[in-house]
Amino acid sequence: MPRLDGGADTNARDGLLRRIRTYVHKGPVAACLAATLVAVVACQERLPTALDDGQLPNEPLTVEVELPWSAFGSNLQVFGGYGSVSALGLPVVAHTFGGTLESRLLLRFGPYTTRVFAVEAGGSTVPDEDITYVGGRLVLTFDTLASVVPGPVQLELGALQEEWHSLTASWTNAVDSVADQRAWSEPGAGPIVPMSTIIWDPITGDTVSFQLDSTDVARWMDASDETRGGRVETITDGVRLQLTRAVLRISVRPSVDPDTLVEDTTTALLAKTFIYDPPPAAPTGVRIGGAPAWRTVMDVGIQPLTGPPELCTAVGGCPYTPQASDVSYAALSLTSQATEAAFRPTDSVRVDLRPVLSPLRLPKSPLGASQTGGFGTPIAAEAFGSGAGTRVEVPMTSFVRTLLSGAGAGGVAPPSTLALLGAPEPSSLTFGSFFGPADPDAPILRLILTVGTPQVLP
Amino acid sequence: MSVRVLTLAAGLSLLGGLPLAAQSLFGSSGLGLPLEAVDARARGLGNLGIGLSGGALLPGDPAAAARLRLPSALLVAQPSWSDASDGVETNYFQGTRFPLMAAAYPVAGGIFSIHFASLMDQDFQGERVSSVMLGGVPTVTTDSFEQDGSVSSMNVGFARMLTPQTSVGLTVGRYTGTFERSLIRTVDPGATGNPIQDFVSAGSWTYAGYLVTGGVATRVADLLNLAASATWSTQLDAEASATTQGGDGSFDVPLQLRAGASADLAPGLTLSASAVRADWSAVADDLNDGSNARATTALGVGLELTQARLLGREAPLRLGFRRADLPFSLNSGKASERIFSAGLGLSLNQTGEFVLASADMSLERGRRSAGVFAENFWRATLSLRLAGL
Repeated sequence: MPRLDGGADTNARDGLLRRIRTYVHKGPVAACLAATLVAVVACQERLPTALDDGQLPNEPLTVEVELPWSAFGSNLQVFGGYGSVSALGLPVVAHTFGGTLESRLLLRFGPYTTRVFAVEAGGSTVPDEDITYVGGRLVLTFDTLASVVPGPVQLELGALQEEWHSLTASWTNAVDSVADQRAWSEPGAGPIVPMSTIIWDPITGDTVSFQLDSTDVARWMDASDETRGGRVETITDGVRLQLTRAVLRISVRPSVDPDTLVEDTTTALLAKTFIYDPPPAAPTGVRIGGAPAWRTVMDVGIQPLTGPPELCTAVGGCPYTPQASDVSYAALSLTSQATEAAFRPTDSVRVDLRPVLSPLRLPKSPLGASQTGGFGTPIAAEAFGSGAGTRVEVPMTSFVRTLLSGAGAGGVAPPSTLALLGAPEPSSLTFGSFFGPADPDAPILRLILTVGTPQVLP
Repeated sequence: MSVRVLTLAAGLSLLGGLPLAAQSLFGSSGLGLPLEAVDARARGLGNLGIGLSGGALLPGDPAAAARLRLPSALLVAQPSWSDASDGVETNYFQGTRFPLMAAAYPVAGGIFSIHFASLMDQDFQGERVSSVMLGGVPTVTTDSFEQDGSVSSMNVGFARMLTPQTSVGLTVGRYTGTFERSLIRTVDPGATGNPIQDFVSAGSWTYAGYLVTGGVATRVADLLNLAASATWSTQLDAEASATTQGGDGSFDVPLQLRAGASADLAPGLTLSASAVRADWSAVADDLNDGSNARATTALGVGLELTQARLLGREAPLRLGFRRADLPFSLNSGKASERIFSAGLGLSLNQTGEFVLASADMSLERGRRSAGVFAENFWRATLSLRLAGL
């Protein structure tokens, strides 16, 4: 029957309603399915876990092996002269320390300030370049923990009189570069013009201040003067001070307000170094550290193992040459000995171990990557004094693994020479000493080996 | 046709690369836990993948594909939640598998099909804590073991109706899958004060081999569906990677015989039964872990109420039970599993007698046991089937 209420609009509406009903029916179903699929795919996995060890492969064997020097090491050498004293951030001032050590601090400051800002009567601030240098202070800060200072110390400041080169100056030479070598007129950066003397008692604080008058300040005013510099020394016996900071503060009188004194105008420190004498005695055994620094190098070659019995059983018999994958841990075990008193550490010594990449070019061979992450293995200072005889370990697992893995794809043999050095280098005037191959407590190679059967099909 | 089918096949291939998580600790023994590549309908009926009425995309029933009259695709997902116990300790685990992905298209008077099917599950992990003396100090060592493996197959097949009641099918497949083992020993660094590198022992293998399945299905007196199939396989070869110290291996895969039937007891009520037989005992000689291997028989029965409706659409209800021997046991005992199941089908889109989109869901509660060892699990299976692509 024809519809009278009209037509096309009604048909379109019915069609739309039908489609909506369809979606109303399908919607929940589709939503459920989608949610189920998401839940299934996103379901967190947890693998079945064995209930007893019998389901696992055979247990690997982990054993410890200590190789004497003769079973792994040879050709130990100690080289000195790496880096320079000037590179050391912590200069030393000493007098008859350890009975012998003399050390003096040399400083050079940059140009003084040439203007100040003065306040006029009206309250406005104006730059003033017509200034007068009326005096100043040289402020030194020492590390009292790293210093050896039994009581009050007399410190002296003097002005250098001869041209000197901050990067190469030594106790005997003011300049010691390849092209130019000039000795001090007096060993120890002399002569000097005395400027100030002070008694510093460490219990009052870690800072000492030398007062400078206008004559002293004027002496260092010419920035082009290559003799410009100050020498700090102590004349108190048995003292070794470690400097952490040096600041020159100048006092200035502005012309616009002559009644005002502008104090503590800081002047940049251009150069800082120290010179010492005498140098350390020739090394015996292993020496690491100092400034310039000492390094100890040695060749390493691991001989086939003849024990322990459980290892021999596990690998089917000895002698057995460990595979690289067997080495869980390798470390050079060193026994400390007392360092000569003048250079005995007062802070921990950090020992790094690196492969020597070109032994034929020693002592100038490049070194490979650090085995200690670059920070070195810290060894307490006491190990080189009252605690001499302490055994310490420097890890070298990666070195031994590489060595045992043999030549690589290109036929290049892995490094078999290693270097023991300070980290960083140089880090201190002091150095660590250890017994060498000729001593009863010679270096030992400590290995922790793990051997197991290969994984096989079920 | 081709573009759609190829796109679908490519999509299924990508899904085939999804990580598959283990479902049983029995996967740690021998070649692992057998997995039936069946859909949620079969799961709900306790069926072993053969002898059900209508068309199906099941690798174990190649002749059933001939009853498909439209291009079809099937995706099966299967999460499970299990707890295993040896009477002393209980471990809980869960995971999701995609045991079957398949597609079919009418070609040359028959149906061409492609399946990606999971066959064996071998995943498990373990941890062992021991102690060794280092530097005169007892030091803890921890062995972490992980086995990650599965045997799958990629099959292509063709099925067609020989008579209005009888169909035959043949599929040819290739084994795929990998097997990886790693044992990592971690030594407590306390003995040295410095890091100790882990000891790692690992191996990786790739499975290869071929299998052929032939089957026949018929409908008798318009009441009874009968089907049978057999799968013959070459050896399952496991080839070690270049860096694996453990050698290659080959395993005898037995002939697998299947039979199934379903009968219309009353309008809308169908009874189904199926059985699978395979003799795995010959594999024992190929195993390194000393696992037992034996002949297995699996039986399943189920009831399907086909006239149930949900939201105005056909929604068959299913109940089932199955019992199966497991070929490899965790100990000297014989392993078996018993499963009760229920399921629901849902027609999402239907035109006349053609179901263009359907979803089937099943939920199983089962128990695997071998001696003192027992594993209880819940397992859900979700199938999504599309037709008329």
